[in-house]
Amino acid sequence: MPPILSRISVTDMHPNLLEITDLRTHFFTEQGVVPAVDGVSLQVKRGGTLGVLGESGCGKSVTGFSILRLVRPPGEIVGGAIRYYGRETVNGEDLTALDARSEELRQLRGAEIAMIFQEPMTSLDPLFTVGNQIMEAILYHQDVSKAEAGKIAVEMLDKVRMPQPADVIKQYPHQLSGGMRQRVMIAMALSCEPQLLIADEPTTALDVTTEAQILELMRELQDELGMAIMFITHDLGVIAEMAEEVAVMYLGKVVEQSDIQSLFADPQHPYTRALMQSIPKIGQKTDGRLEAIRGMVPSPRSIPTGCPFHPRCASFIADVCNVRAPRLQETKRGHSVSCFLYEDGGGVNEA
Amino acid sequence: MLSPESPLDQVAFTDFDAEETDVISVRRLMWLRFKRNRLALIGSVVLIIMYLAAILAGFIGPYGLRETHAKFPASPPLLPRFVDEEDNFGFRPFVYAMESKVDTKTFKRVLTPNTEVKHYVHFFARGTPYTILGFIESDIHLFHVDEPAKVFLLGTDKQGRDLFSRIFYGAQVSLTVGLVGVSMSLIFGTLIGIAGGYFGGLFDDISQRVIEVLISFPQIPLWLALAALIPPTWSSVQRFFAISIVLSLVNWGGLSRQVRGMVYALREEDYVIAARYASASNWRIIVKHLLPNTLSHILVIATISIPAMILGETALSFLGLGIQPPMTSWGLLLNQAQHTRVLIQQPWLLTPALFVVATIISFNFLGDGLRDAADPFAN
Amino acid sequence: MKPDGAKVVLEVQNLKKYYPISAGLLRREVGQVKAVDDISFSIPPRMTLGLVGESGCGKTTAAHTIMRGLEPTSGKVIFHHQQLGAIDLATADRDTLFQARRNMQMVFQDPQSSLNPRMTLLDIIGEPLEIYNIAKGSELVDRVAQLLKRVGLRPEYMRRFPHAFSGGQRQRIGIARALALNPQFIVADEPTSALDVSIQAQTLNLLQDLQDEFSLSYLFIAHDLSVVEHISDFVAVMYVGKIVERADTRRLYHAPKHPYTEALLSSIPRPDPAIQKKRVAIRGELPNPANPPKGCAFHPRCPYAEAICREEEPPLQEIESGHVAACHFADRLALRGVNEF
Repeated sequence: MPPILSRISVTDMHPNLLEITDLRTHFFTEQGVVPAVDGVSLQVKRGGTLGVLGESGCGKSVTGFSILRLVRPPGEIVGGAIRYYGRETVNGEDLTALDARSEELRQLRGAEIAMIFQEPMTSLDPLFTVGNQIMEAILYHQDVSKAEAGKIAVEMLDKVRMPQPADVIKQYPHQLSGGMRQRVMIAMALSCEPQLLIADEPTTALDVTTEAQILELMRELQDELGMAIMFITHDLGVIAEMAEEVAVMYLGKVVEQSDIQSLFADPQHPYTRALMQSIPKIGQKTDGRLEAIRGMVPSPRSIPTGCPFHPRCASFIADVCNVRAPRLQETKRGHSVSCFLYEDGGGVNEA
Repeated sequence: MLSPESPLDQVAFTDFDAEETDVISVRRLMWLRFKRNRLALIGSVVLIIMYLAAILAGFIGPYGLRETHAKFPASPPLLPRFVDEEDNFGFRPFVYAMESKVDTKTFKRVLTPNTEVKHYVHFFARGTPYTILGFIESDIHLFHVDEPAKVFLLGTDKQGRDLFSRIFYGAQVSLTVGLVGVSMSLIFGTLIGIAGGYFGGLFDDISQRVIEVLISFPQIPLWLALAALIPPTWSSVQRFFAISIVLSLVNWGGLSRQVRGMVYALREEDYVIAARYASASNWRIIVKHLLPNTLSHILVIATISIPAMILGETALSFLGLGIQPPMTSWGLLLNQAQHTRVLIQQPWLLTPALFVVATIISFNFLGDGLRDAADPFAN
Repeated sequence: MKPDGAKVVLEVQNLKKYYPISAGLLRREVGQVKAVDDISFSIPPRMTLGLVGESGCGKTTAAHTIMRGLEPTSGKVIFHHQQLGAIDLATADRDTLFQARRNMQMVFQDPQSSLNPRMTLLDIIGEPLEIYNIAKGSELVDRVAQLLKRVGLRPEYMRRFPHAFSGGQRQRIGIARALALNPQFIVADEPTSALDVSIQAQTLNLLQDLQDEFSLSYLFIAHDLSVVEHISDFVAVMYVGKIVERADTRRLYHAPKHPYTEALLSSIPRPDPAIQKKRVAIRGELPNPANPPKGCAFHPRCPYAEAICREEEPPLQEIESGHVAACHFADRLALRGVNEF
């Protein structure tokens, strides 16, 4: 079967598809500046999966929106670069330098970078059939006739394992279940074979059996189409299943970054460790209490000084953590952490 | 603080101090949101001025409600001037006394100024006595000129009454008829809306059908029919309240429906269910949970329906079925401007319409601002 | 799972809640949604029964029917009241219900909508105390202060409004309200599913501490299987209005007897990349509860379904002592437990 779009030769291409350096996206609200993303650097490997893990308010979704330049006022990218090494932008164009409404960026969205969301109902138009909406996406980015677009739409629905795709195409979003809608969203996102799929909590609103199906589907499609995925979630289980590399975010900053095995085998940042200890482990029921993280995520309007996690941290060092901000440093190959416990080469010897 | 032996001390107090800034009451949050709406602020300032002027009508207008100037029927505006006949400019405004004569050839009234004496405009001067709010008696006017000179900022009607003064007396009626009418709609509509929305059942069905009939009835004929029922022997004050009742009878249905809709949605909220599981009585649920959460929305709906009331009164009075002389209202003032001939010859008689427009627009702006404020948690 | 006849707090017997489906101008009843269809279980004192299932399975409807917020279609809800003895909540009159509700309360899922935005914490938590004439004035303030302290909130903030608090804190406020009357039994409907991961643990710990301190029994409703495993002594699994399996937590998670339970356990994303999962392939999605499949409601998705499953509805039967399942092949299938995928 010939692929819909020609595959690009992987030789002499930049190994990373996306490189975010020191991204700062701030929201200028009446109550003050909210630094939702504050100096985030991430890399997505070509065909790889980067998981972005964090709780509400950590800036993980804003990072995703920043890549597509979909941040709306009062939000604004105030610094950093987002280099994308795609089909059209082989030399790594800085997406932050483009006009958010430029034709160039509009072509990138959908054709090269696509995004799916937590609640598919809000991104589907209730007044148009599913087929209509997929076809529209195809017609926008590809030079095909309406009939061909219709054919591709059915093919795409078939690809996302939609039962009876020819019937579903004539249905309206409200006639579908949550899982089916998410399949439609994925079909739409993948209809132009993007190189990067940004998935923002795509299974959070779904039931556990449906979630398993969607995760499975995303893995299969990634193998088939070779796209890279940036998977944004708060769920440690989902991240463990989906990601190859993980960035853990807390209050607009990346606090730990590692490959998935190393992160779970040797979590280093006190926040990552606490997060892992605080969830109940299935199949290992004990009568004891959970090891909760104390306090709560502070308001992004009043981020603590120094290390943003210090008020909740079990390893808090007075006069250090609340004064200076730690830098993200490699402690062993491919594993970086932003914590004073590991500065001055604390953990490097292990590598 | 927790006692050390409590097993809960491991829970640790959640850290509030970072959230100090967020601790403001709902009311304050509403005010902050309201303040953001410039037009609403302007609207409320205009309305405050209007209502103050209506209360102080006797003070602001130089002449009384029924004071006629027999020699000046249908006079165009006679304005204070700063420049005299010899082109000398002075900062004190003055008027020339007018000689009013009927031209024997055209039978038109001609006004000729007597330029010999300048009658300066006195501020805070004594003139016709009046009462404010029915008990404060005074004769001090904002401005006044001595006889025989006259000052008619907006001209006079065909009986020679100063329109400027009468507009503020008219405002007393026009601006309050909306408030009285809306208050009555509010009580009636809210009671029926809450009862229907909360209890449902037969009462709800019947009240909804009645409202539907009421709403689908053409409004003006309904007003006219109801206004025609008011006995002509009633006094002006009785008539004023009767007109308010007529207006609110037509108006309460829409308000009631909206209240019902809100209550219907709110009664399924978890906090209402929680109250029910705590054995709260229906009365308690309505008073403590439903009313406080609908009140701000009810006030918004009320504000937005005041203009309809004012327009209703204006329409009724314009058609001669509303307020009757000697009382006056904006609609009644406009009643004189019914003929095109009058409009062409005495366009100043239309000025009450400008006051109606300004009031309606201000109420709508205010309503808009209140609507934003009523939902302080949006965004 | 009934330890002995009287030693229970709550016994639900054949509880049903059907909603009519009406159509046409005359609103003729054309069918029924069996939201809760013949469920039975009991909860011993100081124990937690976890009720799990996916969205639309009827677990929340069951909770509200037990609380008598919804009128049951049939069945019994026997509540063993400390003072009044056994009461059938399904048929109790107003006065009895008033007495019963003093001893049973509910914690809600959504910390936003479960607190009246126009009431201060004092009013919210104090309301049950006022209604039952337990305290007023300064005594009320003291009681509310105690309750706030119990749930880990500063009593100084009792005159603030809910919007000044985070989701986790609001959930604590909701718990304090449920505790106000010192109940024996609490229904917790997804109390942690709207909370962040790091806040979830605090809330679960709080619920467990309170259970020990006040000898509470919980009906804990959730869709998160790891949370349910952590907090529950017994677990019942619901599918399309029915309980399909019920056992003590250990057996249900490690030796399930119903294919749906196995499928649920197999679907959970595990926070351990080292686990190479051999998933049970589960097809399709939840059926429409207005029109459930004939026979066993799970048969269209069941990898073990046979002819009989399409025809005959399996009864809920005891497979081992205290372990019931509604599957024709419950005693023959060798299903995998949670650690065997």
